[in-house]
Amino acid sequence: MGVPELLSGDGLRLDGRREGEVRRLTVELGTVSGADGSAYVEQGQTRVLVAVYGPLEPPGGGGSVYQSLLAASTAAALESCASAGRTPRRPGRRVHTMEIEENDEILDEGECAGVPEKPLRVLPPATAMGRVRCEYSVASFASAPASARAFRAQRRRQQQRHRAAAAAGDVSAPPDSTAGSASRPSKFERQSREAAARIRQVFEGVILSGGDARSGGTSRLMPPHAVVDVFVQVLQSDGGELAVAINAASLALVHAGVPMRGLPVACSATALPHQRKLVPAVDPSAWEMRQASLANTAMGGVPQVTVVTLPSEADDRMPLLYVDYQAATSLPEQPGIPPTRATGDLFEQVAHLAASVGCPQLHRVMHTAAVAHLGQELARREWSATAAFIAAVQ
Amino acid sequence: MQTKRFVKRARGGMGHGRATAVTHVSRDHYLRDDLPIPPAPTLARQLLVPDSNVLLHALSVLEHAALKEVVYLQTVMEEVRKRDAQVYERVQQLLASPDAGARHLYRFSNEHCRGAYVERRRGESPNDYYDRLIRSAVRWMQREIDGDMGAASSVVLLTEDRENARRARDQDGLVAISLVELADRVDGDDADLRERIRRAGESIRQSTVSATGAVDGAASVSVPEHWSAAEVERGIESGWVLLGTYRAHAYAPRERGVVQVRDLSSVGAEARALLGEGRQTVEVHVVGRVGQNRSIDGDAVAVELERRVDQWTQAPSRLPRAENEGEEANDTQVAVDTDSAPPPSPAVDRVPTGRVVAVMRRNWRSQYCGSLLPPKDGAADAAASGASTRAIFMPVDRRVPRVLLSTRQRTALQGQRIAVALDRWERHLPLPEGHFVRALGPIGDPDTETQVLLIENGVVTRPFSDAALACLPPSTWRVRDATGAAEGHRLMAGREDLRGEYVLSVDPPGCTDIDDALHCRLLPPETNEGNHDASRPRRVEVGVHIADVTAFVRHGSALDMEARERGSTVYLVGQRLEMLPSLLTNRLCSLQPGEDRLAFSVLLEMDVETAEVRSTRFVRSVIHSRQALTYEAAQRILDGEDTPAEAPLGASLRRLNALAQRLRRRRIEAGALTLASPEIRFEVDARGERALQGDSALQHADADSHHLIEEFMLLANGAVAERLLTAFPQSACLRRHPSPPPEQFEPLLQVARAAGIALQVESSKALAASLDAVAASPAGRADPLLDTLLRVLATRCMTQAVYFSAGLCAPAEYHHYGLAAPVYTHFTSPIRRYADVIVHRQLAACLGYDAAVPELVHHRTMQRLCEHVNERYRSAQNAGRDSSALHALLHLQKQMPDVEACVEAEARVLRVLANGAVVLLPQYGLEGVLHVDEERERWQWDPERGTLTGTRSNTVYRALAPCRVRLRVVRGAAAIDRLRLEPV
Repeated sequence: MGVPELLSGDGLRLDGRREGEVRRLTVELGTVSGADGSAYVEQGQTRVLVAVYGPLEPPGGGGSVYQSLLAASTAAALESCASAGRTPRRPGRRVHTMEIEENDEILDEGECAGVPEKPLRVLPPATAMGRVRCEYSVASFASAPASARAFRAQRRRQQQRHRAAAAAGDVSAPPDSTAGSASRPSKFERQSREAAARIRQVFEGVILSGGDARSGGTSRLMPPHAVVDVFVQVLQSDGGELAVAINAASLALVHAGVPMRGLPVACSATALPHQRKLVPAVDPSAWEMRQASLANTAMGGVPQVTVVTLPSEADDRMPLLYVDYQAATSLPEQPGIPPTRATGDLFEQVAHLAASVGCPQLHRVMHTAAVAHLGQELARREWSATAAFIAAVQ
Repeated sequence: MQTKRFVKRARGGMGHGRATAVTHVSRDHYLRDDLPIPPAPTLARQLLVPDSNVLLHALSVLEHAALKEVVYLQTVMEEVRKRDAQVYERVQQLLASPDAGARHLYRFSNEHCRGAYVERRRGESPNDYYDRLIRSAVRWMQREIDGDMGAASSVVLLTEDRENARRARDQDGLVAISLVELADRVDGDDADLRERIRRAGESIRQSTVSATGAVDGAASVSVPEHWSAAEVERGIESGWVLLGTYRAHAYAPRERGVVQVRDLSSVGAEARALLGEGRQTVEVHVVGRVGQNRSIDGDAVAVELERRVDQWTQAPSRLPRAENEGEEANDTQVAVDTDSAPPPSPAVDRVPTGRVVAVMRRNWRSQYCGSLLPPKDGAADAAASGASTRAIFMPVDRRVPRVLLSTRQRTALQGQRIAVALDRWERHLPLPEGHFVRALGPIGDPDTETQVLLIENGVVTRPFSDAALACLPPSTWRVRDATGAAEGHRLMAGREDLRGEYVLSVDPPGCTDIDDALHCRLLPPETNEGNHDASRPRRVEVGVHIADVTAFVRHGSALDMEARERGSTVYLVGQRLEMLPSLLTNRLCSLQPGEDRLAFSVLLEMDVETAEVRSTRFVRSVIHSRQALTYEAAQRILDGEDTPAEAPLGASLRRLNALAQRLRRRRIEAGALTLASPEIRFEVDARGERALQGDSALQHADADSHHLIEEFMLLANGAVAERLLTAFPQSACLRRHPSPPPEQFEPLLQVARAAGIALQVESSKALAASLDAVAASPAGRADPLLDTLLRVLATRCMTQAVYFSAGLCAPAEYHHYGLAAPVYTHFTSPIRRYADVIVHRQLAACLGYDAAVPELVHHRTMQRLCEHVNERYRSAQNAGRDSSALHALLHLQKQMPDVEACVEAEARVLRVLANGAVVLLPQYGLEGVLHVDEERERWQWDPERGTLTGTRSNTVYRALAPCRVRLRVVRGAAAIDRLRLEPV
C-alpha cells in the first residue's frame, strides 16, 4: 500500500487544508495560576503549555528589583504590544530588524552552499543575553507511538548493558541502571536541549533588558540583572512543536509583562512531494510529515523549516528573526540534482511561505489574545488613561 | 475559507505487521465551503460517479476516450489506492492526462466538503460508511447542480453493488445504475464503448458469482491464497522464504518454472546448508499449479523453500510433448499435479524446490499478442447467439499462460491476431483473466506477424514526435553552413580539419548508415632517431573516423530522449527501425563519400612492422570521405583482382590490411574467441545488415576485408575505453563480457566427451586453442561442420556481454572474455546504438568539448542508463532473431504448398535428451527439437555417452552425428506456425 496523495488533484492536503493554511489555533493566557505569566497554545493537535517566572533576581546577586519592576514591566508590556500593534512607532524606539527582502540575500548565500547547515539568525543584538533561561520538556504521553518506541529502545539498551556487565562479571549493576545514560544524553534529551537553546536565542534578542542604548528610558526595560525563566511543556506533539512553543512563550512573556520589542510569531513549514516536485506547505502535522518523508525517502525525506518573525503592522512586511533548517536530506552530494531534491532555492521558497503566509495568520490570533489580555489587565488596575489608549488602538 | 475542524480518531498499530499495542491517533480533519462542485454535464446526458468496485474492475471502460463527464470522488480514490496500487496509478495518469479536461473528468474531495461529508456512525462497518460517504457526495452534487430533481437528476451513481444501489434509490432518492444499464444509456453511435461497458459489467457479475460459487464447488481446484505482506515478512525472517523473479520454464511453462533469487542475505542457516554454502544466486524450482501459484513470467514473487530435500524435484531432462496435441481440451480440470515430475529416485541430482507463496509485484506487460482458441462444441451456439461468451486466448509467448477473455466478438476475432491485457488471476480459476485491447490483423500475414514480434519484444514503432523532429537541423544543412557561419560556431569549436586525408569506408552493399571510415597515412621518417632506415618509414597514422552523432543530438533534448527510449536500431528482415530520424541516419551523420561530414576521430600512430600503437589522440574533426567500398570490392582490391582508379586507395587498403592482420594475430594469441551461432542465411535483398563491429565475433565473416574493419574498430573501442576510464573511473560506460563459470561449459563438455573430443575450457585462450585443434584434427578436416557445431555449442555456454558503469565492479572484472580485452566499450556505431552515443558524450566531456552532464558522470545514474541500454539492446536483437525465424518459416511454407507436404533435410544432433534430440539444420541455419516416436518403440537414453537408441529399429541418435529429418510447418495451438521436425 502506497503513500496517500499529499496534495490531491484539487490542491487539498491530507487533512483538507491548502498549502498556505495553518491549522486551527487556540490560545489561552494565564492558564497556570502560580506563574508570573503563562499561556496554553493549541495548534491542530499540538498542545503546548508555557509558564514564565520572572523577571527575577538572578541567583546570588543584585539588589531588589521589585520596586521598579511593577511600573516598568507594565509599561514595557504595553509598549511591546503597541509596537506589535497599530501604533506608529517612534523613531527612538525603532526596533532594528531586517526585512525579508534583505534576508533573501542571506538565503541566497545558503543556496550556494547547497543546504544551509546552521540556523540562520537575523536577530537584533541580543539585549538580554544570558537573561533568559529556558527548560523544554516533552510529556511522555505527548506522542504515543514515538515515545513507546523510544521507551522500548531504551529498555533494550539497558538490557544490553546489563547483559554486557553480567558477561564482564560485574553482577552488581542493577538491570535498570541509568548510569550509562547520564554520560551520553538520549536522543530525546538532546532534542529538548536543542529546542530550549533555540527558544532562548530567540527571546534573548527580543526581550528588552537594561543596557540597550536605543531603547529610551530605563523604565521601559527589564531591570539589568533580572532573569526570566521559561518553562515549556509539550503536552501533545503533532508537528511544529518548536514553533508552537515559541508562540506560547511569546504570549506567556506578554502575560508576565516582560518588555519585548514585539510579539515574535513562529511558524513551521515543509515541502510536500507532489507529482515529482516538492511543493512548499506551512504548518505540517506529524502525520503529514511522516507520509511526506515516506513518499520522498529516495531523496532523503523532506525539509523542515521553522521561521520566527517579528511582525509589525506599520509596514506590511514580516521581519524575519530566525530561520531554523532541518534538512532531512541525508544523501551525499550528487552532481545530478534530481528535481525532488531539496535545494537552497527550495528552502528559500519554504521559508518565505512560512514567513509571509503562515505567520500573519497566526499573528492575527495571537495579537488579538494579547491585546485582549492587556486590556483586561489594565482595566483591573484602573489605569483608565492607558485603557482608553488601548481602546483607541483597537 | 471557512473551516470546521473535528478530530478523527483512528486506531493504528505500529510496527511491521506485528501485533503491538493499539494506540489512538487523533488527526485534524477540516471541512471547507470553498470547494468547487463539478459543473452540470454538457458532453453527456449524465455526470457519472463510479464507486471503487467499478473502478477496480472496469477501468478500461473508464479509460475509454468516448466516456465523458465522470467524477472521481476522494473516498473512491482512497479505497482504490488501498486495494490496488496499479489501478490507482492508472486513474492518476488518466486524470493528469491532457485528455481529462476535454473529456470533463473531475475529481471531488468530498470528504473535505462540508455539505458532502458525513460522520461515521457508531458500529457502522467501514464498507457501509464508504458507501454512505459516496451517496452523500452524490446527493450533495445533485442538490448543487440541479436542485432536488430526484430520479430526473443528471448526477448518477455507477455501482455494481445492488444493495448500495437500492439504498441510493430508496433512502436518498438518487439515481443509481449498473454498468449494463449504463451501456443502454450510451449514445447510439458508439458501439465499441457500449460493448465494452456491457462486457465489463458482466465480468464483474460473473466474478462475484464465481467467487461465491468457488467456496462450495470448486474448492478442489483452488490454489492456496497468497500470503499477506506481513506473513511474507515473517517468512523471510524465518529464513525459509526468498524473494526473487519468477521465470517460466522455456519448454514446459505450464508445469514448472524457476524463481531466480539474487539476494541470499536473508536465507537462514539451515536453508543455506541445503542450498550449499557460498552461493551468490540460486534458482528455486517451482512445479505444478500449486507451486507456481498464479505467477506469470517476470513477476516478483516470494517463494518458500521446501525443507525436505527428498521432496526436491529433478532438473527436467525430458522434452515436453509438442503442445498442439489437444491437451487444452480440459482447461478447467487442469489437474493439481505437483508430481508431474518423474518419480523421484535417490541417485539423481535434485534441484532446490519450493512453492510460490505470494506475488509481491506483477510485472505484466501492457499487452500480450496471441489469438483465440477455436470454440469448443458447446460454446459455439452461445457465440452464435451473440451472448457474451468466454473465450480462451493463447498468447504467442509460450511463457505466458493462456488467458480467459470474455467477449461478444469472438466470431469476428477468430483467425485474427489480437492484443490482450491481463487483469487478474483469481484463486479458483486455472487461468488469469484479461480483456481484449485491439486486433492486429489476420494470422499468418507477414505484416501482422512482424507487428506481433515487435510488440512482444517491446520495440518502439511509433514515428518520431514533432518535438524530436524539431531538434533536427534543416534537411539542407551542410558542414559548410557551420564553417561559413560566424566564428566559433558551436559545432565547429575545437574541430580539426581532416578533409585532406584520404578517407575510405568499407561496408556491406546497400548500406546507407555509414558510421565509420578509415584513413591511413605514412608519417615522414623521424630524423631525431639514430638508427632509422631513411628508405623505410616506420610509422603510420591510422585515423578511425566515427560519425559525430552527438553534435546533432544534444543531451536531454526531445530527440535524445526518443533515441534513448529506442536504444538501438532494430534490424528486421527487409526492414529497419531506426534509432535516429532518417535525416541523421542516412544523410547528415552517414559518412558518405564526396561529402564533408562531422566526425569523432581516433588518430593512432602505429609502427608499420609490429602494429604497436605508439600514441593515440582523440579529436572532433571534419572529414571528406573519398570512397565507400563494399566488402567484395575491397576484397578484390586486396586480392589484386581489381586495380583501383585512384592510387592512394590501393595503398591505403593494403597497408591497413597488413596492420589488421597483425592486430588480429595478436588478439588471437591473447585468447580471443571465434564463435559461431546458427544464422539463418537468406537471400533477402536490401537487408542493411552489418556484421562487423564490437563483439559480433559470434558470426563468421572470414574475408580479410571483414577483418580489416573489425580490427580497427576493436582497437578504437579499446582505446576509447581506456581513455574514459582515466577520466571517469567511476562512471565510464564500458562493456564487459564476464568469464562463464566452469560449470556452464558442462553441456559442451558432455557432448564433446561423447564424441571423444577433449576440450579445455579453463580460459578463453585454452578454449580457442582446443577448438582450433579440433578443426585441424583429422576428424575436423573430414567433417568441416564439426568445428562449427562445437563453436555453436560453446556460444551457448557464454554469458552475455553487458554495458556497465565502471563503478559497478572491480577493475579485474572489466574483462571482455570473448575479445580477450582487459577493458572495452562501444564507440564506433553511434548511429545505431545508444551506448555509443553515451560513450561519445563522455569522451567529448573528458576532452573538454562539452560540459560533463551530471547524469553521465555519476555512477548510479550511469548504471541505470546502462541497464536500460542493455535491455533495449537485447530486445532489439531478439526482435531481429524472431524476424529471421518468421521469414524462414514463411520461406519454407512457400516451398510446401499444402499442409501434408514436407521437406527432408540433413540435420546434426546438438544434444540428446531422454525422448528426443535438439538438432541443427545446417542448410537453413535452423535449430529445432526432434521428438522420437515413443509409442512404437522404447528408447534407451545414455546421457554419459550421449546416445538415444531405439530398441526395435536400432536407430541411434548420437551427439554431433548427422541424421535425416522431415520438416513440416504445422499450425500450433496458438495458431502460431511452427516448424515441426520428424524423424525419417
